Parts: sequence; structure tokens; C-alpha cells
Amino acid sequence: MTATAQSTARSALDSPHAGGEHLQLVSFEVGGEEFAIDILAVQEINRMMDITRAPHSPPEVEGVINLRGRIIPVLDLRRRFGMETREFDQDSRIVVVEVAGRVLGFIVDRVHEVLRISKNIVEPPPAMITSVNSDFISGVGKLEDRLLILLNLNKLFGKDLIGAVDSAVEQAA
Amino acid sequence: MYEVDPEILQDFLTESGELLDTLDRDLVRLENMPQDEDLLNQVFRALHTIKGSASFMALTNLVAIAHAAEDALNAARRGDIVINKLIMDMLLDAVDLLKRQFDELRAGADLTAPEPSLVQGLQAVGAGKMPGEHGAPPRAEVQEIPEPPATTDSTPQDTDASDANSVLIVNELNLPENKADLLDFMVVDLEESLVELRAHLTHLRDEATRSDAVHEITVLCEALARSVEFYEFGQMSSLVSVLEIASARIEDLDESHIAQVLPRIEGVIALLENQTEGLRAGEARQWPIDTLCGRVADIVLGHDLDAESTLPEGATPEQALHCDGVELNVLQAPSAARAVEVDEATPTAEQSDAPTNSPTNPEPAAEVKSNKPAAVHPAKIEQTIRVEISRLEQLLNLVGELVLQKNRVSGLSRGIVQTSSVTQEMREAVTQVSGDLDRVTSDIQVAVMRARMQSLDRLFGKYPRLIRDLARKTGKNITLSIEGGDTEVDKSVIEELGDPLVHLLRNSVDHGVEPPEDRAATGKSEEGIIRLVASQEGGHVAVRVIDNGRGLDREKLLKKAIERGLTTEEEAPGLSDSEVYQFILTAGFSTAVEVSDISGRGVGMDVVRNNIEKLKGTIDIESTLGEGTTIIIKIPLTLAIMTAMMVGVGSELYAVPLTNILEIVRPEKDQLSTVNGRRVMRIRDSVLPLIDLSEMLELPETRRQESPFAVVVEQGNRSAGLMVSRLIGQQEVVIKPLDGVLSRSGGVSGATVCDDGGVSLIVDVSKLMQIAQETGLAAA
Repeated sequence: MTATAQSTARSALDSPHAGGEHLQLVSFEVGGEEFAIDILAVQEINRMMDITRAPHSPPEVEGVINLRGRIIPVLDLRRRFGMETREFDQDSRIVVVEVAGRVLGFIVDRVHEVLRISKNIVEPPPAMITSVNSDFISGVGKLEDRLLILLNLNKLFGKDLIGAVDSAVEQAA
Repeated sequence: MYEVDPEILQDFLTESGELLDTLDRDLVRLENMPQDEDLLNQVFRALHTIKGSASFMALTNLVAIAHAAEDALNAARRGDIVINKLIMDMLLDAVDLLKRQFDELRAGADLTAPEPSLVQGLQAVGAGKMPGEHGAPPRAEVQEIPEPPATTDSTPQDTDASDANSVLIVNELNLPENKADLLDFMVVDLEESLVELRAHLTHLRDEATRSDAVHEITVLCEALARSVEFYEFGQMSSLVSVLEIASARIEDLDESHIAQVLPRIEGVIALLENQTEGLRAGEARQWPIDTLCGRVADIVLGHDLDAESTLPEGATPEQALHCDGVELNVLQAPSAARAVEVDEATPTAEQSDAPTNSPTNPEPAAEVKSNKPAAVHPAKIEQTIRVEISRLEQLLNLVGELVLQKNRVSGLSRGIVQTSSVTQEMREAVTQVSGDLDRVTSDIQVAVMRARMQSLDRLFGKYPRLIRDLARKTGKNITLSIEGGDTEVDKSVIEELGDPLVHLLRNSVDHGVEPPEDRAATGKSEEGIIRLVASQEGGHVAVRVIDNGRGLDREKLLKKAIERGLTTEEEAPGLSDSEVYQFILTAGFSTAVEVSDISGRGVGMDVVRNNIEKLKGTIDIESTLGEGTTIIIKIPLTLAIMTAMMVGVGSELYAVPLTNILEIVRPEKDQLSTVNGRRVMRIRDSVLPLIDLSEMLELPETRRQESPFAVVVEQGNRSAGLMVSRLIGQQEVVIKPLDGVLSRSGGVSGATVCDDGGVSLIVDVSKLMQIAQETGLAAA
């Protein structure tokens, strides 16, 4: 009885994702360019809310928000990319992601869509395609009419940033 | 080490770990009251339980030491020996080793083997030799003790079979009233299951039908396990799990092992039947099943048994039980066969007494040790369940959310009430509902908080041992008395309070209480008394460490403080006693002439202060020279909620912990001045440094406002005024940790969610004062 149930479960596991032909992405706009991240990393997308400034935090950190009882840091992606900052508006969104076990939000100019693209059309990041530090980019998706820059969240918000932040904090202290 | 089911291991670590924690305290109590039989039994049972569970997981080294300690205690129970300091040292060493082994288990490391000398020493005590007279050569078989479990378990003839441990203990079945009514019904249920179990047993013997039988037995065991839980009688549950594991593994065993395990399985069923019989008579029959369990575990793990524990071919269940030290003489065994068996298995005359008695007695009465329910393992188990901390934390989080939504509803209802188009009934209804919601929400909040509370005994239980060891080391005569250990505080507080209390107690032993001769010389009793007293005072818990030692010497402290530049000759006379005593909490401040390995390096006391400040607590010191010192620690009951003053800094909102606030003033212009480039205000007779929060919290220019209020805060013995723009009011706030990136930024210690769902940061007063001091408030 249990044996049958197990084998059914196993075959169910084997079939769908294994091929991995497609990527499901969330795309958004920052500074006139279109970026995308894996939808699995995204926890939710929120309208702008009151952000509490956190003193002595690194410049990328806009502040903290209350995400249903949990206090999470929110970063401004424009600052992280070294772009010019601007006032947030109606279209601004906070994308909440989980990176390396930490939940954080980042602000984008606006969110475009959820899309599915074939892995085949993703190419490794060419140098100098964008103003963004190429370390942050995991690839470029060539769509019919536009380019999609795939971000590497681990590089963007992972150890490097935390390390930099920690040392900045240490110096400040 | 073989693989233990992680869940079983975890259960073992938690449950036996708790027993281990109590052992320290109980042993020290036992040292003072060696005649207390209840206590002795209690200690013995704790070790016994640990040993039993460990043997089932084949934790050889752990079993070896627990077994040896148990032997020694057993000798005390028999009255062969009296526990003296030397024996107690050995027992405490054994407990220390067990603790270490528990740590190793947790870390997944191999278990440290016990020192043969310790095991031998305990064994000698177990054999009735008082240490000192055990110049007698250690017995030969003792050398084998640290070997695999078969050895430790194979010594029942040596110890178990002859002592109280190996006999049946009958307790009164102690069921709560609501269950007692159901007893008859439940016993019938149990009997039916056992009959069915017997039926499957025959199939288990036959290889052809074995596989089906295993399946059936497994299913039955699951039902049985649930059914025996009803009786709150742990041994039956153990037997059922032995049965379950043994039958589940039987198919993987070779024939020789099966021949060993089958009679034992039958024996277990016989025991269960016997116990069921007991239940009907209102008895909880506690059989000595450790050896049996250990051997079954060995067999199903594929270990070979030694000659002593190996059953002859075609052994009967009763032979099996007998071999494992259980004399189930209510079984209708042919007495001839039994007698022979007894002769074979009991090589020495001394030990043959108990078993040879049995066949002549149809009833177990002769060797049954009847006990009053109170004295023996309480059959009634506390009605508790274990819950992961993370779940409670989640619950707490959700309650925080609920509070938030409740606040919104209150806001809305206020709005509705003021709306003119609403009818009077509607208004009243809305007000009523909103009020009820308010009350229920705060009740839930309190309830969830309470779920995280633990009694301080958890912590205090470790200290009698500590004091005993320290007192012996320093050659002082000290008694620790503990009061109010049932005071409950949040789990996180317990965790943080441990270290500071250890430091304080060490300090009292080392610096507070004088050596006996000094005490006698000053006309005090030679015995120093340290009292550890906990009590709840409002939203705080106060823990006092009171000693009747030499007390603090104000003049000596002042001299030292001036030497170290903590104060000046001029200031000294103006300082209050308690201000002077606070100096002992300063890093590197030790008046002890000699540095001992207990304390005197001046590191301890500032650790105490830091830890207590971390807990948002305070330390007060009272002392009378020559009479003693009292150190009073006050900490909030919980770290998850605190009372804070909400203040506006420019256009931003911050929370200042109320425990830090002395007063709030609005200084006049002529009170303000600048000293050495620092802004200060004169308040009454003293000069208070001011900290501009807008500056310290890096407020952007656009958000700054005039800051006319000074919130006077105190941390340790320093105080300062925090300049703020607005005062909002006092609030209970739920403290939320700041995530990773921000947790280390200066000036804030956490965050809290406001009524409107926004976030306010909680000001870290001690950090602010530290930064202010270091930077010299350059911005002044």
C-alpha cells in the first residue's frame, strides 16, 4: 500500500521541472532599463509604504518597514546600481525577496510583468551593456523587441553587501 | 556510533537532559541529608531512567557511567554505605561526565569513555565498600566495564539481580478522576489487543508467515502505544516500543539472532499481560526491564550477545525473562525446569537467594516491594506538551499583528461613533464590540507571553553545586538558601541571567564570605549564608544575592576609585554609598589583594553589568561593613514587550525604554551652557551632559526641528539628557529585532510597530551614551 503511494509520488516528482527548459521571471524597471529576477525568489510585491529611516545604515538602505509584524530592511535599487535617485511615485514598488536566508525589500521604479522565457534565449552578460555593475548580472534575455537584464540576487544583496555594510558599521562605531 | 533515529535522540536529550539538570541540585541536597530516602530514591530513579533510555540506543559509554553511579546509589539505598564527601565527589564527577556526553551527543561527536578509576571506584562503593577501605584490589570483571553494552548489561547477577532495582515495584495506579471511570473499559481494550498480539506471535515464529505477522504486529503496536498512554504509566509505553522495534527489525536478522529475540518478544508480551492484570487491580507494576530492553536493542542491531546473556536453543519466554533479570513468577512455568535454570544462572550463593525464593512463592508478594504512591516514581505525569520555541515566537508575532489590527478597529470605531448619520444603537454596539476586542486581545497577548515563561528554578537548580564546589575550594563553610525559585520569567531572560548570577555568587563566596576563622574571630557564626531570593515586583523580577559576609568598605573602594581616576578626592565625600558601591561594577575594578582562580581579576563584575543592561535591567548594591552585602538585580519579566516613552526627534518618532528614564525636563536658557565644547545643563546641583538626538541619529537637515525637551536617562552610574523635539507619551511596545544589515548599526537596539502599522526604532541608551562619550559630542 505504502509502496504504491511512494512510487506514484516519485514519478510525480520526476516529470515536470526536470527539463528546466523555461525560466519564470518577474520583470521591473529601474532607471529606464528592464530587469528580471526568478519568480521563486520573490515573496511579494508591495506598493510604497512609510519607510522608517535607519540611522547609521549604509547609503543603499532606505530604511525599514513592517512586513506583517516582521521588520525588514528596504534598499533603493537605484542607489545600489549607482544611478541618480529620484522621488518615489505612484508606480514605485517594493519587491520583497529572500536572499541567502534573509528577507529584504528593494525599491524599483515600476513592476512590468510575470513572464516565461526559454532558457535558450538567455546569454551570458556582455561587458558594457548597461550602466549596472556586470557582477550583478547573471545573463541577458533577448526578447523580440527588447533586452531583459537578469539579476543575480546573491551578488546584489548577498555577502558582498552584507560584508560591506558590516565593515561600514564597524568603522562608524 | 550507529545511527539513532534523530527524533528519538532528540527526545532522549530533552527528557534525560532535564533529569540530568536536576541531578546536580539533588545530589548536593543529598550530601547534606544523606538519610533522606525519598531524595535518594529520586536521584537513583533519575539515573536509572537515563541509563534505561541510553541503553536502548546502545550508548555504551553513557550507560557504563550511569550504571556505575547507579550501583553506588543502590548500595546507599540498601544501607550498605553512607554517602560521604568522597562518594559524593565521585557521583558528581559521574554527573559531569554524563553532561559532557550529552553535549557530545548533541554535537554528534563520539562519547567520551569514563575513566576506569571512576567506574571502579563507584563499583567498589556499589559493592558496599566505603572509599578509603577500598585498598582492596579492584575486582577482575570491573576492568571490562567500559566495553560494549553487553558487558554492563551482563552484570545483573553481580548487582541488579540481588538488589532492590531488580525486583518488581508495585505502585498504586494513580489516574486522574476523569480517567479512573474509564479504566475498566480501557483495560478490556488492552486485553483484546494482547490476545490478538499472542495470535500473531505464532505467525512470527514461522518464517513463511513472518512478514505478514510483522505488519500486523506493527499496526497493533501503534494502537497499543496510543492505548497505554492512557494509563500514564511509562514502562508500558517502553515495552510497547521495544515490541514494535523488535518485530519491525526481525526480518533483517539471521536465524541465531531471531532465536535470541523471539523468546524475549514473547517475554515482553508476557510482561504486558502481567501489567494489564495489574492495571485491573489498580496497580502499576514496575518491572526491572532495563537489561531486557538493552539486550533486545543489542540483538536487533545485530550485535552478538555474550555467553551469559545468550539463551539456550528453544528457550521459553520465562527463561528469557529470567536471564534478563525479570522474575515473572506469576507465569505458570514448570517449576522443575525453572529450578534448574536458576541453578545454572546464579553462580554465587549470595545472589541465589532472591531467585530461589521465587518458585516456591505462587504470588509475587515475597519479593514485591510495595511503596506508597508518593514515594515512588509518580505515575501521574504533569499534563504538558513540548512546543518548539519558534512556534511560540510565531504566535507572539501574530499576536503583535492582532494588536495592530485591533488598534485600527478602535480608530475606526471612534470615527464611526462621531459620524452623525449613525444611530445611537449602532454607536453603542460599535463601542461595545471594540471594547471587547480590546480586552480579548490583551488577554491573548498576556497568555502568549505566559506560555514563554519558565520558572527561575531552572536556573537556580545549578547553583547549590556551584556553591558547594567553590566553598570546598576556598575552604569556607557556606550554605546557599534559595527562595522564590518558582518566580516565572521569559525564557530569553532566563538564558541571559545565568552568567551574571554565576559571577555574583562566585563573588559572594570569594570576597563576601570570610574564612571560618575570621568569622569566628569577629564573633560571627562560622557558617556563611548566601541567600538567593527571587520575587516579582510589578512588571519586573527582582533577584537578590544576599551574603552575611564582610560587607563593602566605602573608604577602601573610594581610595581605589580615586587611584583609577573614576572619581576625585573632591567629589568623593559627596557620593552616596550606593554610588560608591557601583564602582565594583566597573571593568578592571577589583579590590581583592590576591587574584584567585575564582574571582579577583575584575572581569566578572563588569560582565554582570553588561549582561544586566542588555536585559534592560538595573543593579543596586546595599551593604553594611562587617554584616554583609546585598546585590539587587531588577529585570523586566520579558524581553519581548517593554514600556517606552515615545518621543519625536525632528519629524521622526523613536521609543526610549522607560527603565532608562529618570525624568523629563524642559531646561530654561540659563540652565544650558557649554563645558569643554560639550553641551551640558545644570539640573539642581549637578551638571548633566546633553546628547542631541537629531545629531546622533543622523537626521537629514530637512527633518530637523527645535529640541526643547531633555529626557534624562541613566545607564549604570552615568546619566545624560537626550534632547528631543516632542513628547508623545508612554506606551507598551512589542520589541522586534532588526534584521541582519541593521542590527549592528549604532544608536538603535530594535524596532517596534506603531498603531498605524509604521515602524519606530528603539533608542539604545547605553550605546548612545558610549558613542557620545567617545566622540566627545563633537557637534555641540
